Amino acid sequence: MGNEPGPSRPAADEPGASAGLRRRFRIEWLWVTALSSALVIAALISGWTRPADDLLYDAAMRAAPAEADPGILIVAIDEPSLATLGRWPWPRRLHAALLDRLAAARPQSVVLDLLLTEPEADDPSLAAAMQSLRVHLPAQFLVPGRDGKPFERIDPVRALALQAAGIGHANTAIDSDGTVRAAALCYAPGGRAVPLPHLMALRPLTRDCTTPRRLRFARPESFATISYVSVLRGEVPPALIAGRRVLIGMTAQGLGDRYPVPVSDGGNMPGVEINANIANAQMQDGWVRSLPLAGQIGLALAPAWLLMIGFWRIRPRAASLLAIALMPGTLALSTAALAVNWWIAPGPALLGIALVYPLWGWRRLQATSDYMRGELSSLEREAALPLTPAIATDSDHVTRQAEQLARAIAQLRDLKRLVSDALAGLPDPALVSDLAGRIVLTNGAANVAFGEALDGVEVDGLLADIAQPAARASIAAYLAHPASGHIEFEARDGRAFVLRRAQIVGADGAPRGRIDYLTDITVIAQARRDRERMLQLLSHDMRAPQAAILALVGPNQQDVDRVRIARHARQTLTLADSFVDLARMQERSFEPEPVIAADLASEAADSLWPLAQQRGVQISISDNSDCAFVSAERESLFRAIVNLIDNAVKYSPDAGTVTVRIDAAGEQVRLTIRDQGKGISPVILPHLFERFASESAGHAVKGVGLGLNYVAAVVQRHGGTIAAHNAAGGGAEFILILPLDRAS
Amino acid sequence: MRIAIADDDAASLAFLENVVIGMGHICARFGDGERLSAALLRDTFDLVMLDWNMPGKSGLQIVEWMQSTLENPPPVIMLTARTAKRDVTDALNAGADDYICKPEEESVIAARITAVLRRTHGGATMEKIAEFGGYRLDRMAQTIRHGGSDIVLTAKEFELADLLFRNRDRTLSRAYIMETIWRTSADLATRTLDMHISRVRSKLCLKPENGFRIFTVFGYGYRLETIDPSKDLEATG
Repeated sequence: MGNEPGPSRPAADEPGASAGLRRRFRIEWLWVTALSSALVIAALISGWTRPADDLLYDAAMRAAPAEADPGILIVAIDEPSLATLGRWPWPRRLHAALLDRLAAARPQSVVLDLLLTEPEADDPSLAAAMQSLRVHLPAQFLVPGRDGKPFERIDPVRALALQAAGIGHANTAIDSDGTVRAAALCYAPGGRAVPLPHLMALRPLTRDCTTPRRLRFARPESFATISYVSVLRGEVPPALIAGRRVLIGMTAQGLGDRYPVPVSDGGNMPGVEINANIANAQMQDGWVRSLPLAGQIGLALAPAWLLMIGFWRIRPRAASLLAIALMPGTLALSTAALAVNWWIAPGPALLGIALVYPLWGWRRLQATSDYMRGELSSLEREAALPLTPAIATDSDHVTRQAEQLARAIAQLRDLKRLVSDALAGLPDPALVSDLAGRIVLTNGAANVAFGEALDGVEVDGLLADIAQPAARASIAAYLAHPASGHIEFEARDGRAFVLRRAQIVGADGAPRGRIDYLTDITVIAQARRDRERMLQLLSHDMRAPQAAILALVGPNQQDVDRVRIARHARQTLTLADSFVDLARMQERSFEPEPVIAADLASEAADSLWPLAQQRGVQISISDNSDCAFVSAERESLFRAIVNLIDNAVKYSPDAGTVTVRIDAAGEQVRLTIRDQGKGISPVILPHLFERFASESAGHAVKGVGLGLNYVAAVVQRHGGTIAAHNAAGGGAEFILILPLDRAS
Repeated sequence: MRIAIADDDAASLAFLENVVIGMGHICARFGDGERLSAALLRDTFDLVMLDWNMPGKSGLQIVEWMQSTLENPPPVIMLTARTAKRDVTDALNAGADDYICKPEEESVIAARITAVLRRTHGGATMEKIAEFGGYRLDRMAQTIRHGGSDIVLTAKEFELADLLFRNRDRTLSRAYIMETIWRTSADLATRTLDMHISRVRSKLCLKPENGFRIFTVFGYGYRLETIDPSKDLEATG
């Protein structure tokens, strides 16, 4: 009884158990409750447990018998009387003589518990003796009666019946085991007859008096008894008889009716003594009451239901203890009730407890087993890892289930191994933390980077700790909203990391924890810094001396050398700027805005006006685009156009003209920049937009290489094309085609 | 004129706005100093009216910050319930142009605003005829004469050209231009302004040869630059 079958607890309390298992448990629970209730009610109504119940009842009755009322006196037709007065039946004048004796002693009443149904010669003398006393006589019932009647009532001889104070029945209610435990206060065989009160009925009778009632018996031979013959001889002092209820009946062995009773310890009790007990019960209210049927059912079901609720609500061990406690509890309740003359048969309730416990244990095991089998099968179908060996299918059910379980465990182990192998195989630190933010799993790289004892450490704190103080705020901001990709930060030891945080989500979609993955980008960051430093050098440190040269040369236009020096210095500046611009542009993402192409060209031309004016070169803008917009990155496209016009100005002869045409055609905007120079050498032309394309003869060396390369890169970024050729009328022509801004 | 008002008290903000709008100016409201500072970095205002006590930056701090950070700080009128002499001198010394103690009557505030604007923008009165370089603006006829011929402009184009000429060599934010010319910046497509600039540029032939160029300040607005022919090449390289 005390073992714990199945899961450690009913599913209702277990948040992890699936809804299916919980529903199954609920159904099984209802099923077990209903079945055991039905069996308990059936047992109660059909009396399956009566024999066992009566054992308890009889024992309790023996332990606490009734007190014999001193007001009852039995005049026994016993062995000495038979020995003295001769064989039974005696002539009725003996009874008349006895009654005369009794009358002299003035008893309260007399019950002559003898069947006097056949007329005899002595009847008149007996009738005369009865006149001076209150004598009750029994009627006889024949069931079934003669001539097919259901029963037949045979009253005492008419002469006697007329003198009787009352006629009663003396039928005993015999239980199925032959024992007399109850008495019916009225008798009406067939139910419809007018009930006849019991010989011993002393009180007004209720309507349901025909139902036998249990009564508490006194121990055998505990009523005051005197011998028939002693009374007849006048040996009994009248004081002994005066005021008592006298029962005259047979006690001698072999005479009259005798029945076993609860207190008789296997022996039988004479009918007259049973009647004395009935009278005793009437006088002392020694009747044992029982509950109405509904109450009996309720009490019989209560322990089983209590236990079922216990199975649902409390731990199995406690439920077992409850089951154990309920059995003696039920017995104790029955015994206690009997002490105050209430009889509650404990049998059905005990049967309920005895049924419920194994039934529920069985159904719960079955449900759990089915659930596990289902889960294992689905786990197997989902095939967490395709590496596990197959199962032999010819083994028996339990073996197969055990194998399935073993396999599932093996798969889990494999999976765990896979996870830890995968984690360990990662080249960079990875920190797995639970929902509370505490580290639960790390890899070797993390241990190398941040120390060995990381388990249980708060991960956000650790990350803040390894970062430089300046980076902590931004790390905290990222960790609070890690959806936005990743974050770069520098550690206190100088290393640089990219931090990515990913959520771990269970199969049910609920979060389980987080993975923080740190990529060491120290080398990349270093390279980036170096590059940045070089760009700084180019854009600032190299610019400054060139600007100083230009300042020193001054605006003097007359000195040819000075003009040349200024031009070279400016060229160096342009080269550096182009290089830096190109480098910067390539690391930037393309974020265009709508720009009017003609305006951009005009402003580019405006910015080159001082240079052009110096050499008398005219920049003529011819706009046929009607404010066409291009989707452009203003700064880089502006610079590209400046480069192109700048080139055109450079290669133009003094006092020449540079023509800039802007045309809109279809989905495109075309910029044409044409000079009146010597044109581009055919050797260079195919390689014009390659990086550092060098100048050769035919062109005055003016360093376009990087400038055009920049232009090509910008145009490519804008999804446009650039082409160069020598125009028919002489001079170079660059054609820049850009897509029209869609929205315009 | 476009006037920025910063006050953390909604009631006085609404009161000042009414005064400013009643005078025919455009109003931009700010609930605290931080937002005003941010706007000053990317927008143009003709006047800033500042409350002294605001969450974040105090009025005095903003005045000091404007003087040290902005290239062309707009004039400032401080408004406050403080009346101590020391506060008045502190504000004026920090760079405020005027000082109004709250509460003050509407007419007085209007007069003080007009005075500051006249002082800093050379008077709000506009001559019928104005000349800028080779351009002669007739504000009655809304025509511009250049190189011996009249240039036909739409009303908005003329207003824009006038605005640019009047504010030549001053960078105007896009919002400032749009609110001054179109009285709004909310519903107007930004392309409208680009196209008007482009038309003004080409119709008036605003190019260095004619002494002017329109310069786009990326991410901010426009500036009409006057070109000095004797200028050193370095400046525009």
